[in-house]
Formats: sequence, structure tokens, C-alpha cells
Amino acid sequence: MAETRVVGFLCNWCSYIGADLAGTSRLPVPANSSFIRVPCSGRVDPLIVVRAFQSGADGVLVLGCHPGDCHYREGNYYARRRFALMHRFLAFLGIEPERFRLDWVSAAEGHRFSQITHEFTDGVERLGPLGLPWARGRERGNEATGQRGSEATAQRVGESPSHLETQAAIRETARRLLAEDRVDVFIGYEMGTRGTTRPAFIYEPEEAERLVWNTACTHNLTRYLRDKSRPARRGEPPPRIGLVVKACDALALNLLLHDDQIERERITVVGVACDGMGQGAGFPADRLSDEMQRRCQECTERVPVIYDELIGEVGSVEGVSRLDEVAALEALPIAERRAFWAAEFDRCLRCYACRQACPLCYCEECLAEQLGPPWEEIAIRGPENAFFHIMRAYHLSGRCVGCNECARACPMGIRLDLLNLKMAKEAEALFGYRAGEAVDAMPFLATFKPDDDALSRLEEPSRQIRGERDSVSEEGVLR
Amino acid sequence: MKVLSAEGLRAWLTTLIARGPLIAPVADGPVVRYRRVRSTDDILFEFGRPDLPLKEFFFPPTEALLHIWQGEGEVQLTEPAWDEEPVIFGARPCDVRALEVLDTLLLAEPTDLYYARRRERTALVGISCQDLRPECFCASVGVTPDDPSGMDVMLTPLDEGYAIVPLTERGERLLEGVPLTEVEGEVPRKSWPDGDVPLPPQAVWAERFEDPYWSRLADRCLSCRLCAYVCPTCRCFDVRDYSGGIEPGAERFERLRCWDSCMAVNYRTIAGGHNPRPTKMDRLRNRFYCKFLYYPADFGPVACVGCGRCITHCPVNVDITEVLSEMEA
Repeated sequence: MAETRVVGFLCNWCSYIGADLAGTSRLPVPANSSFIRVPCSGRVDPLIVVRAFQSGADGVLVLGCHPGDCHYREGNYYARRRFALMHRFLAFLGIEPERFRLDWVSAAEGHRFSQITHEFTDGVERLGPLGLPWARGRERGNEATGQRGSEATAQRVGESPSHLETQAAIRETARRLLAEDRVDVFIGYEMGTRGTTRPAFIYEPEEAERLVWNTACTHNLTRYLRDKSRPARRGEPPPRIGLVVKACDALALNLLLHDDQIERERITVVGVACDGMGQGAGFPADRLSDEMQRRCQECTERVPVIYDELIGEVGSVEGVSRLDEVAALEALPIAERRAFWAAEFDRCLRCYACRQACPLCYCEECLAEQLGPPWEEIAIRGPENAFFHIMRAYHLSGRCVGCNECARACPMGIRLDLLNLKMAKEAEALFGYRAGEAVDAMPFLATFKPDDDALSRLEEPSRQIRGERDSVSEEGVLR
Repeated sequence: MKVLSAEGLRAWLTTLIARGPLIAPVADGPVVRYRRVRSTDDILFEFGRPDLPLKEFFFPPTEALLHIWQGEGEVQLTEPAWDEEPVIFGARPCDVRALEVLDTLLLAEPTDLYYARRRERTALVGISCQDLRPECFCASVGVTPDDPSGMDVMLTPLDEGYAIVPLTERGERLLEGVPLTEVEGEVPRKSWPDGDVPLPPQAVWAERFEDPYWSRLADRCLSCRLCAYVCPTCRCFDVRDYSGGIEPGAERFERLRCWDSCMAVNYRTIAGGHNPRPTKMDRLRNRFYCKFLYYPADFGPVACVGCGRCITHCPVNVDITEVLSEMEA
């Protein structure tokens, strides 16, 4: 059997002492395991676990104090939430769930430490080495793979009289807001070159004629709010902004308001009842199709959750449930899923168009580019690309509103939408959380409940260990 | 003219695969790009302008410049070897012109040795374009879609097979033993429309540096690096050292050179934190000034070959031809 390596992150106060006790009690601990002492299980960022897998670990164990016993009172509760999410996410990327485990070992449980480590390493050994295609130290491959997702039932979009009415109303609203000096700039859509619909910045009432409304107004304009958050000239207040938002875009507004990224009184939200955007929108017209974008086919909202003025009526288009591509990927054998994502990550150029197009990626300095500590190398190759996308998906969990701008902007057609959808799916399943629906919703990773459903599911294996050891499911913790 | 049949081409490419790396256009997921191929079945024989240029085979996104081994009281530096002799099949004239543009900078003293050795050892088998994409404007910057300059061998698709012309000694060698049919007549040349995108004179650029047009244009720019990374002539890079692993009593490091872009916020940040191009307007403007004013002034050619990739891929329609027309106006 090939040699496997297991890395454990042990909390300083309980689990590490438990490990010590196992040692002094002469209890066996697997030889192929290495342990790293950390202040608290809550200090183990899931991205550290990703890096451990990328650096050659075949299994990663995080052990902390029992719930209620944390020496910082609540670190392990946060850890439990983060890892519940990331465990499922890593499985989606092709890392078997049995390769990760979060569990609790107290300072007095030397026996339990020995048991857990043996059980875990046995499970990892049964699986064999991880062989992650995006492990560090592996050069990017040259093979082209990349099976695309299956076809969805087509739903069409088209120019309709209501589009022209909406367009006239948007122009009129922009003209009025600018003429009455209620906004300094109005952000909408205009026709660019080669039949492209693109974002428009209108400063004078007479320029409002440039504004359009059609099936290619797909850009999420809330992304530009951060650019306009500073004064144009020193000493002036920041500009007041009017902007067009669709139902999907409005969810981002709620999150930006929650995160104190925008001032509500500085913004006039012109909501537009949208009835779907076409595929290929926002690029030269030869790419625009009348087939509706999948996210729009699924959308049942149509009217923004937040607006100051509303234009248009709710369309009669019914949401056709799309082929659930996330479920289709989940149903694949894990090796195929792993290969799928390896090919996707491999194509990445790290142009960061995904991040720059995203309304919620508003960090002044992205973790990917910060100099210290250097989470990410500048190397443009599979392992670093994979880490970037996992990091971005994790940081957007519970924050992505599904506007799809990242996937649309990607010149390499990487299915970033599926990463975000998977996160959203698990956030809803685990925590009943949907991003952006309410402005005062507490982000689920910034809070915890000592006893909600997801958490008890997480604790199952521990209970089984306390009972009889042989009954532990081979499926692992979170299946 | 000499003609090679479609089957003959496949057979020739099969021998090239056996001989050394063959790089050819392939479908990589939803994009068309050049990759190393193992079988002619992977090659796209009919393809438009690929989504990515050839640049990555001469100036890779990530290249190790140096391997460093540091033991006790001892440091060893090794330059990574590169002794391949790749053949690139299906090179487009715009991409090869872009290499000539890069040559003026990277092959000038002090020569970029990493670029130079790839340039020297790589053979280019070009193929003339039959159709242009709507975004193509190569004619406006002096490239024609069937321009053979810089190629070792040039192919022109015919109704059946390809007209084939060796242009260099290396091209002749590549074709040794390949059965070519002699057919009467010249290699057919399509007529291409003249370019209609203006190239404003240097004085105009200097005059309009402070024009409010730039901040209006920058309003919708996302400040990503997409345009630079799909551009065949953008060549900015960053160099950093990374640990390559620890062994008993020693540590390895790797010095990496990776693509960078003037569109990145931190690109121009200097020690102490000052950034001479603090706004995205400064950065976007620099992109065009670099291509049409600074590069020609310093090295000769305009740093744009009219491939139109930045237009195809920009998610917010920053259209370089629109900018040029605006400058001319």
C-alpha cells in the first residue's frame, strides 16, 4: 500500500494536551501523521486545510475542544460552521469527504485521541494517496479536457414593446434625477461598439438619450458603486449616484449596505422589472443569442428587493427550472469531478476579471495579491489558480448573489458560476441562508448557534465513537 | 506552386509530433488556443483567430529563471535548461508580427535570454487567414491576413489541400522528404479590405494626455488584467523568489517570472507605498499610451497588431478601435 500522510491541527488547550496524554500513556498514534499545534480550532482557516492538501497531505484532521469547552468560549463553534461548509465544497471539487475530519478531543481524552487518529488514518489509507491534480509542485498540464455541462431546456428572450417602454422610462428617470440635481451621475446601459451593450455613465440630463434597455443589459452595475465612493475632487463629498438595478443586482445592494460599503442616502436605486437576459450578453453582438441565460430561467424574483423607483411591470415569463448543473456534477464519480475542476483551474490566466467584475469583491487588497503573509504566489499555474478560486468561492459564500458576472467576464470560460452555486446551495442546506434577501441578515459564518441541525449532523461520528467503534460509517462525517 | 494534400499534412504533422513538441490550435474547453498535441486528431484544422495568442510559448505566464539551492555555507544557482525544438503549426500572421514587435525590445541589448532561446529554437508554420473576425483590424496596423513574414513555412488553404511555401532554411529542413505536388499557378491571394482604423500621430497623443475622455472611458473599466493577458504584445512581468521545499540542512528556492499587467492596482506601487498611477484612469490611459506612443518611441513598432482579442473578451466593451478613432477625431 502506498504511503499516505495525515496532517492534524490540534488546539493548544485541549487536543494537543490530549495528544500528549496519549503519548505519555503509551497509546499508539499512527506513524504517518504529523501534528501542528494551533491556538484554537477556530484559528484554522479552511484555506489552511486547502493548502495542506495542496502541499501533500492525503488527509487533514482538525481537533479542538468539545463544544462548550473552548478556552476562547466560541472558537470551535465558528470552526464547526466553516468546516461544515468547506467539507462539502471540497468534496465537490473532488476531495473525498473521508480525507477531512473535524472532531473534538479534550485534555483528558488520550484514549480518544488515539482512537480518532487511527480511525482517520485507516480511512485515508484505504483511499490511498490523494494525487491532487492541483497539488503544489505540479506544473500545469498541456492536455485539453473539459467536458462541458449538459444542455438546458432553451427559453428565449427577445425585444418586446415593453423593452422600449422601459427604455423610455429609464431615460426619463435619469433626465429627471440629473435635472433636479438629485444625483451627480446616473449609471445605466448604452450601446457600445459592434452591437455591444455596455455600462453607461451619464453626467448631463441631455446625455440620457444614450441609455438603452434590452436583452443584453446583463452587467451588475452595483459593482461600480465602490469606484464612485470617493470624491471626484479633494474636499468634495462623494458623488450621489442613480443606478439601474435588476432583481439579481439588488441582492448585492443589500449586502453592500449590510457591510457598510455604501451609504443608502447617496444612492437612488432605479429598479427595473426584468424578464431575462440573453446568453452572450455584453459582448459583440455576434455572440448574443436569444436563448435566455440559465440563471434568468431559474429566477422567480424579477422585481428588485430594494428600490426607490420601479420601472416596468412584472413579466409574465415563468421560471423554468433549469437542469441543475451542480447536481449533475455532484452525481459524477469523484475522480471525474476532480478531473473536471483540474481542467477548469488549469485554464485560468489569473487576469482577475472575475474578481474585478464582482460587486462583492470589494477588498482594497485581495488576499491573492497581498505581500504578507503571502497566501498566494504570483505563479500562473494550476495549483495557485485552484487556490485562488477556492479562496474566492469561500470568501463569497453567503455573499454571492448569482449575478454571474464572474463567469461572464472570464475569457477562458471557467465555470465559476458552479463554484458559487455550490456554496449557495450548501449555505441554504446547512444554515437556511440566502444571500442578500434582507439587509440585516447576519452572515452565517460570522455567527453560530450551539445546537442547530447542521451542527448535530457534524457531531454524529463522535457519538458513534463513544458508543461502539466499529459502527463508524465509511462514508465519513458529512455525507 | 507546391501543394500538400490534407492527408499529406496530417502525415507530416504526425512525423513532427514524433520528432519533438508540436504546438497546434486545439479546443480547450470552450476556448481555442495553442497547446502541445500528441495526435493530429486533437488539432483544429479549421479555426478562426484563436482566443489566446502565441505569446505564451515565448514568454510563458510562469517561468523559472533560476533554481537556488542553499546549504550550510554554500549556495548553488542553476539556470533551468530548455533544449526543446518545438514546431508551432497554424500560426496566424498577426501573432507572428507580435513576436517581431516583442523582438525589438526583448532581443535588444541586454537580451532577454529566456525569450531569445525560445525564439531561436521554435519553428513557425503559419497559415493564412481565410475569414476575419468582426474584431480583426490587422490591416489598419500594417499586417495582412496572409502575411508570411517571420514564418518558416507558410500554408494557404486551397479548395483541396494547402499551398505550401518554405521561407527559411529551417522551413526547408522541416519539409525534407515530404511529398509535395507541383501544381501550375501562383499561390492564390485573397483581396482584403484596407484598414479603416486610424493610427493617430504621436503629437495627438501628447496633446490629449489630460483629456477628460480618459476618465469617462475609465468609468466602465473593471481594472482587470484581461486585455493585457490576451494581448500578443503585452509583456510586463513580475519576478519573485519562492521556497521550493526544505531538505535536511538545505533549502531550495525558485525564482519565478510571471505575467503582470499595468492594469493591476499594485503594478506601479513603489517602496514606501507611493503609486504614481493611483486611479484606474491613469492605468487604462497608460495601456493605450504604451501601445501607441511609448513603445513606438522607444523601440520602433506600434505595440498592437490588430488581432482584436481585447475587444472580443473585454466584459465591458473597452474597444481599442473606438479609442483610436476618438483620438483621431
